[in-house]
Amino acid sequence: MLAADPHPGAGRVTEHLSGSASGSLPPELTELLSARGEEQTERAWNRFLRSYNDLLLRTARSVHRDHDAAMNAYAHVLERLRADGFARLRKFSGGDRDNLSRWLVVVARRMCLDQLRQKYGRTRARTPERERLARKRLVDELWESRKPPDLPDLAAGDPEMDLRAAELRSALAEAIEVLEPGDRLLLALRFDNELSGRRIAEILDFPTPFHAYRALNGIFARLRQQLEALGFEGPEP
Amino acid sequence: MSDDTVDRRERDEHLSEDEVVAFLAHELRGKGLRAAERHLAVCDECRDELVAVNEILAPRRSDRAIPWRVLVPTAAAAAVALLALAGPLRERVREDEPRHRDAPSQIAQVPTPVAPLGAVERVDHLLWRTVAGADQYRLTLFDADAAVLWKTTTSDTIAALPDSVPLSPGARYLWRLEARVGWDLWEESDLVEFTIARRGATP
Repeated sequence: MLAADPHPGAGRVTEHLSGSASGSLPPELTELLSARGEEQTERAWNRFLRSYNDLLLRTARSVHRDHDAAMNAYAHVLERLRADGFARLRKFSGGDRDNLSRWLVVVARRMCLDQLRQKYGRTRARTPERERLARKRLVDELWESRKPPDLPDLAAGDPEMDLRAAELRSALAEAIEVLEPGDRLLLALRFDNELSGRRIAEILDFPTPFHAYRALNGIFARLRQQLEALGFEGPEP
Repeated sequence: MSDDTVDRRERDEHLSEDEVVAFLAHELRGKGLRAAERHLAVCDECRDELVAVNEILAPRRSDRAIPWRVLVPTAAAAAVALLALAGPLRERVREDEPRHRDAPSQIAQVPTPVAPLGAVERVDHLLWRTVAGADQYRLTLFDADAAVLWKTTTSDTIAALPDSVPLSPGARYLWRLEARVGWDLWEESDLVEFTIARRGATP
């Protein structure tokens, strides 16, 4: 392997190609990281962007709703990727185009968020209200209860029901804690991130969305069993 | 994932870029996978990253064949299934048979959806074959994205589709049955599919 050339125009014949155990990089990245001279480097960079520009733009837009802010973030990402002779790109551990695409989106998104945090600081990912609603949706789906939307919250202002609700939440949290990590993640994706069966199946590698649904059903059955053993037969007393 | 990485994960450090990539590529295994799942289940930030990256990548994925384990019979096969039920549609459970068994049956009694199947003009009812010894059936209707449209529980072998569940012409729907054949013991059918024919089209 050749050492990295931090100054593409310097003419030194040293380049560092990183590679993973797979020992391969997509051709446009290989070309970019081994380019010599300014002209060759620019050509290789343009070719690289033709393949991945769309992804980088989409990533910037996913972080920023505002068009100008998204374009600013996109420019920031390009600048960071080019810096120090493409030092950031040289950290890619290797793989095919799909793998590079995943890696680029993760890296670019983190660059956009870092830029945002430098400006505005970190924000809390979840509000207490959002967490409460996620728990309520899980409890409702456990017993398939559906309250008509125009009925008042039965627990509101009733100390006994409030206590029962708190006990149920506590029992549910304990029951979830002993689930397998994969099952806890499935619940979080479904009730906290509110993902569809299709998206859950993509992330957790289920063959179809229905396999995700079946896995959820199995988890509900186990949770119901544990809660019913503690005397909870439903979300309402 | 090395043991050192697993230890870091136990201390709830965020996933590295490579770990997120490996998770989405379904390349993590064993301890590494469990450690990542354990962290992702409790870390909103890492989970949000996973979801966001998957969403960004989703439109680029080529359409891979999704192996649906679904029965999609032809209209002719559906017609044959209906003709087979020309006699009484319901087999009553004998009054002297216990409703709850202590032990599960030796042979699986798989519920069999009968209609609607394939392309149909309209759906007013969903119909299935009786499972011997079953005292209750649970029916779930999905859209093509696995969103649950309707669920019902009945002791009959037919369920009327409520007006509050509108079905769109041309859209794909799937449904499945569970039959209670013992104490808290349910047998599940395969998913079956139907579509509502568009107006003017022949199912």
